[in-house]
Amino acid sequence: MFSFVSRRLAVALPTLLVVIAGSFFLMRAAPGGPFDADAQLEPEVIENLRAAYDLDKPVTEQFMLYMARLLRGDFGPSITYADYTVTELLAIGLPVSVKLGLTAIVVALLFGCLMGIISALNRNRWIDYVTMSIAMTGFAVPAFVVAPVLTLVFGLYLKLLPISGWNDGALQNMVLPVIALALPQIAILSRLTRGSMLEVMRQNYIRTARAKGLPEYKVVAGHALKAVSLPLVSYLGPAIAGIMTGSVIIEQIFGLPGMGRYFIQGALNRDYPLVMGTVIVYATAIILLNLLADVIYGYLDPRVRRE
Amino acid sequence: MAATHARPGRRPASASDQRTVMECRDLTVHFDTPNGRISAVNGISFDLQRGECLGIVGESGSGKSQTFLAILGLLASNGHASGSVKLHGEEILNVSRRRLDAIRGEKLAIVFQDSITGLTPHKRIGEQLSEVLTQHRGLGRGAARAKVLEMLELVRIPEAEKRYRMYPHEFSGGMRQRVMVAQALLCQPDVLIADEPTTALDVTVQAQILKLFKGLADHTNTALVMITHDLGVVAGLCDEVMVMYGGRVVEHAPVDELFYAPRHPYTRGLLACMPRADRDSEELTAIPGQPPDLEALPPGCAFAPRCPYAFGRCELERPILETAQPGHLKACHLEELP
Repeated sequence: MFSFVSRRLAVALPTLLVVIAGSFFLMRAAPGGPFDADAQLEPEVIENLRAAYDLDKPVTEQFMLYMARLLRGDFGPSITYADYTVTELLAIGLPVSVKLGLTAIVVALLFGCLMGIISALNRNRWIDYVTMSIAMTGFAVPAFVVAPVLTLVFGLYLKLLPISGWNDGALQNMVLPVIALALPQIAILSRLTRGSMLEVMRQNYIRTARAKGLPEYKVVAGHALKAVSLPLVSYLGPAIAGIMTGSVIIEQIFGLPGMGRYFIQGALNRDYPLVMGTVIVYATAIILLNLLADVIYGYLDPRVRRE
Repeated sequence: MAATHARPGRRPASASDQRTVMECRDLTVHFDTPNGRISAVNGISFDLQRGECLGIVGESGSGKSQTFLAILGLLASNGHASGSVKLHGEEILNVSRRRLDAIRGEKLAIVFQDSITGLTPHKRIGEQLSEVLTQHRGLGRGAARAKVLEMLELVRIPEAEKRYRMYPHEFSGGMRQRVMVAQALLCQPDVLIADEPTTALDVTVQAQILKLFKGLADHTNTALVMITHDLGVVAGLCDEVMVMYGGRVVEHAPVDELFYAPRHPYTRGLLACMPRADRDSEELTAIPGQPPDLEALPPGCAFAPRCPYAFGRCELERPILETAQPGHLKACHLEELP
């Protein structure tokens, strides 16, 4: 297990490097710069500012300087939020995004699995059709449609929940963003669970378990569930990535002070260090969480463990 | 009907007979599919005696496996069984799941053909075996473990202690099949059904597994049902043989009689298909034609289209299973095979 994890981490490092280099040069290749919005500034002032942020140097040299700084654990200063370093901004945004994302994942797993199992056990009955229709709709309608509709109905018409703001992560402020974020994942997870459950229950070893005289709940819990969860664990990586990217949009719509908010602000203002900082955190999180999913998979399926 | 009720073999049987373990009467299995109804088994009757070994022979699709899956209540969800199956005089066909669970694995056990997919891949062998004992005998972990280890040694699994903690994929095919046999024997069942237990194994391993069954048949009171398409297996192991074709029994006889004096053309065809080393023939024999289409069985004898001796009556009227001579049943219009 240890060698498996360390080998995977060794592969993760070059991946991260490619992500960093890719986004660094892509950002610089995009037209515009951090001071374009400040049209009233004198050219000399802009020159001085550019020099202060090393933007007057060639791009490759900038990259070297950035990497050297990064190795010391310094993400650099933010350009837009002039009084803050990127590290400070991430320290504000990360807890918000983590809380939002984790809640969404847990909600998605809970409802997705539940809906899938209910569907599979009632295959081709009305409850199966209803659940799967809901899942299909949830999958087909994008978050930027779901989110405003939710705000409109629950925030403005029914006045049950606040339409935006974080309020230190209060429950009523979390409800709508979490639903909007989890909905597509619930859709995918419930379909996956249903398919996996139907597939596993057809296996010969399920017949063997029944032939041994085990009652059905023992057959399902003892012989089916682990195998049913395998495709779900495989999907956990992409699901986490989906929730993170979804979070970027959802945080913007609901005005939440998370990482996604800083990422979008940074990208719009060409705040290079801020964008780089958020990208690195996102990439690291996705790599680590995928690794975690693989470890769980290995734990569940003994055939994978030894390889 | 009287003819099918007459039990071939050494002595007549009745429900009161202490030796009779299982009585199967007029068992019928059909499947509902989008293309219509498929009848897999049509009115099968037989008895099982303590310590007896009954061979069930037939091609794929002859209904030999479905007969016993129906008895165990393991048909696919679109399958339906009717008729009567009694275990020690008690009806067990189409009873509640709770009742079935009490019988399966305890009085009635099965060894499936495919040991690769037949064992749960993510559960340790020891757990899979000991749960049979915790379920049926209420044994604690330690007691169940001791019993399982004993059984694993009985089926000659080396290093049983170590193997107990291993997963199915760490076993060879033959060893997995022996584990399946051990699992079926844990509660010393009254009836053990072996559904082509050696088909997926190579020849040397086949012999080991068959030896295991042979020892079982000789030394215990368990009634053994050996489902196979290999007449060689039947010859070495069984007391009686039931030959199935198109979901019906076409011949039922003591093993020696079946081999030396078959009464049905299909049985004779099967025997002719056995490759023999002592005969100087260049080619392998095969029965010409295809197994019957179960969705559209002919009104007459299902074997008639492939039968070398078929005559007019065979295609119009289905022959019933009748006594050809005491203890020997056949379903054929011919009095004697030419």
